[in-house]
Amino acid sequence: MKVTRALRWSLPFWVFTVACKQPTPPAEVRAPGEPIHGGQVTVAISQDLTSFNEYTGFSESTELAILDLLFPTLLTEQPDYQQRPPSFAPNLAVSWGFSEDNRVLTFQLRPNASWSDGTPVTAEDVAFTFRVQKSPLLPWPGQEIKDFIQRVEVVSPTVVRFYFSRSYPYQLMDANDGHIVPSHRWGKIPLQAWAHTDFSQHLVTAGPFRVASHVPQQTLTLARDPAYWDRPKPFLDRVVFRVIPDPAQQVAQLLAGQVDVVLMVPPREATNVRGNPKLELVEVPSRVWGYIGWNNRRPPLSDRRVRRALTLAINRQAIVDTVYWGFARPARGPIPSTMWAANRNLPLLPYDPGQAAKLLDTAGVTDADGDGVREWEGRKLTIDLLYPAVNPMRAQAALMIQADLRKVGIHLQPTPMEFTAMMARQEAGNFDAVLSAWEEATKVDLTSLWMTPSSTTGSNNFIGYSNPEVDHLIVQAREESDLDKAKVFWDRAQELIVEDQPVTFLYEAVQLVGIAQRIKGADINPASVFFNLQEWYVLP
Amino acid sequence: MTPPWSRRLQAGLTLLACEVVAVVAAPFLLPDPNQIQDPRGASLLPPLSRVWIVSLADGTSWAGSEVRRQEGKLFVYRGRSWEGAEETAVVSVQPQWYLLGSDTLGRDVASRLVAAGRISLAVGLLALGLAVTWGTGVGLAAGLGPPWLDRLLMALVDAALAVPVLFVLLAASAFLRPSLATVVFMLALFSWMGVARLVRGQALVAREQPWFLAARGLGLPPLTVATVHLLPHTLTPLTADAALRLADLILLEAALSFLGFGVPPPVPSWGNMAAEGFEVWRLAWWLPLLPGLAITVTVLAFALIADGLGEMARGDAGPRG
Repeated sequence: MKVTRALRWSLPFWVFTVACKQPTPPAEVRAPGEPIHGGQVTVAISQDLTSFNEYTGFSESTELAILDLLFPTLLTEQPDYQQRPPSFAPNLAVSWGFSEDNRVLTFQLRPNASWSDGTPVTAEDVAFTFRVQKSPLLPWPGQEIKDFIQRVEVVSPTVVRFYFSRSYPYQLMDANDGHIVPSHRWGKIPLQAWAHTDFSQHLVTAGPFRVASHVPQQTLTLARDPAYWDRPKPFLDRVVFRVIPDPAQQVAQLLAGQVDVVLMVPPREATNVRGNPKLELVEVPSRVWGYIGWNNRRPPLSDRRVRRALTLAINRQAIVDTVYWGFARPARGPIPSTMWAANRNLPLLPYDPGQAAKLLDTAGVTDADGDGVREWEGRKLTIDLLYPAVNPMRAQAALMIQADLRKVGIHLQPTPMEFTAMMARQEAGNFDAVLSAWEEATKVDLTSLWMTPSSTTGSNNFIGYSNPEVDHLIVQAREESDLDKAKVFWDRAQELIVEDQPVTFLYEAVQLVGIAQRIKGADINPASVFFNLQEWYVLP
Repeated sequence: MTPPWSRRLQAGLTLLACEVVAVVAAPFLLPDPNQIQDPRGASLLPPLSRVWIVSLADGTSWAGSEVRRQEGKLFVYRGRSWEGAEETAVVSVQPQWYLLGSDTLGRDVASRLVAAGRISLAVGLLALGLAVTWGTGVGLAAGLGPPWLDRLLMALVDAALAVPVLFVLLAASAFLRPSLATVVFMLALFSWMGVARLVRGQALVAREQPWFLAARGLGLPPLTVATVHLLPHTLTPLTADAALRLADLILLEAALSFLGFGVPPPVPSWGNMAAEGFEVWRLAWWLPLLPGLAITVTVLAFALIADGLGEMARGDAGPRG
């Protein structure tokens, strides 16, 4: 599935206490004493930055987190979306306010922010960035986020106004999305040429760190920016990002002390990291949930009784225990339970092969010839389950699903595929089932996955789910500015989706971050592992 | 007169025979290789482990290293904690031995290893057979045929070598279903070129030799010259090459599965067992080691056979005294 841009916006500042025998390390690690300047931290990343300019293509969440250190945003989204939509803290903008009719949003910018070449960061840069974001010449995947912003006006070098076409709950979030880029330098490059421009040759940054060196596919070294506006931060002299594609290799280097931070420790390696006295394992609840997407257009999977039976026949707790080593939880519905809009009264469908078998019988998927495999319309039913071949955890889960379904007489064939080939089959609707995962944005919106796909708007609803009542509820919820009222619509929509079981909800994931104990002051939270990197320091 | 058997050939054949007997006979003695056994209690067990399998009335089963009865309940040490079940809900309690340990899903490694042996040997040998047949045919034609045919065929070999394997497989994966036949065909398709070059080289050398000229001079048909006279001369390098190629093919099958082209899961092969084992080598060393050893032994057996055949062909075989 396509990952939306808002993905990296993130989770509650909240730590899992379930499923841990040992006391969970606190998410916030503070040492006694004052932070000190100096030192270096090495972070393992699985792939190099594709571009220093996020508007020239698709950037995944780690890349965006690195760009956060180099380019400013107006505000910093806070990881507090568990109880309500996320709030914001000042960053480049020091204050902001809405007009009477909520259609005009005015930001007051910091007067002392400057680019690394000494030029001040001004309202002109904000306006330029907006023009870039709206440009049809660029493939930025976040363009529709700016749909309701009509224009951006420069009032003075430190005051900038956003004009909206309507009032809705996520105006601030939408205005803030995307990094501010330098108009005085990048404005000289025509937008037509951006796609094939190497922006490392035009690098002007404004953040706690600046780029010291970049060896493509090997290392990216950032050095502290002495001109950073929030002095005396940052404390670290250098942050080195080292490209190590293999997760097991990342952990090996973490254990050997070669790197200090591993962003995603495979669950099976968790005990190794936890057992090392020099390391700490931080469990960060993520908004990623795994599922089996059934092809809702293809009989007999188009029958919701069949889909429900398949869910009942799969022991999801066993998958969580075995494949994710307990670092996950069975998922109930389409919105992760860590988010404010999640319906907390959703039932967790039990593991009940007996009931599953009965449901399949009533839906007409029966084993008439008594060979132990059910047929559909006289032919032996085979469900191909596609999954990306490079993911060993999916492969394991697929085998467990196969074994569970065999017990109720369903023949499911795990079919590992190369990722792009799998995407192509997904897009074409040429599949029975896919084993996949989705990362929910911090902005609650069921549109892209669950609305009936229309030909005019982009959709990720490749399974072909369609329920007019759900469509109607989503539209109502999106237009409602009173959050309590919107929650009622969201709750009902979630109930209906769970009743229909267009997908089998498998698990909600936990991100495991491995970090060296010598690093102090790190607030590793669901917003980003680098959320407060400018406040990290190391003891000599 | 001593039999024309070299010691190496004997050793190689013996090893191979042992393997074949094991993969043919053992499945009757070992549990189902694809049986997933309560991974919570039975995953990643080291070799020579025993667990108790507790079958419950609801159709599920637990695996535990220890079992205790207390106050009408049956307690099972399942993974890292004790869990209790009502005696009335327990259908049976049976021991299960894992001779060579278990994998992440609690499957028996010993039975998977022999089941995989059947697949890997079959896939490897069939693909090798196909590749050697195509390669030899092309190589002989190129080496003995007219110069234009040689140029054409070698250009074809070069082109085939230049084709990026990955992209062809990706394109093919859009319309081919993974099956044993596709795996064999794909493996052969990407490994006959080396054989063709080797055989052509031998043929080019041979056609200058007096015995070759004599055979031609006697007016033998080209096909007879090629098969009866030339082919035996290529056997030595060809068998040595084939023995090594077999190991490559067995491992390449695992690489194919990463592109969705290996044997369809959950069918085990030595290649995919080794690949899965590498994921957890820090927790369970036996998982990558055992299939690796199996591949090594097989390659060794074939190398010995190749060597032995070579010795026989050169006439220096056997303990002649």
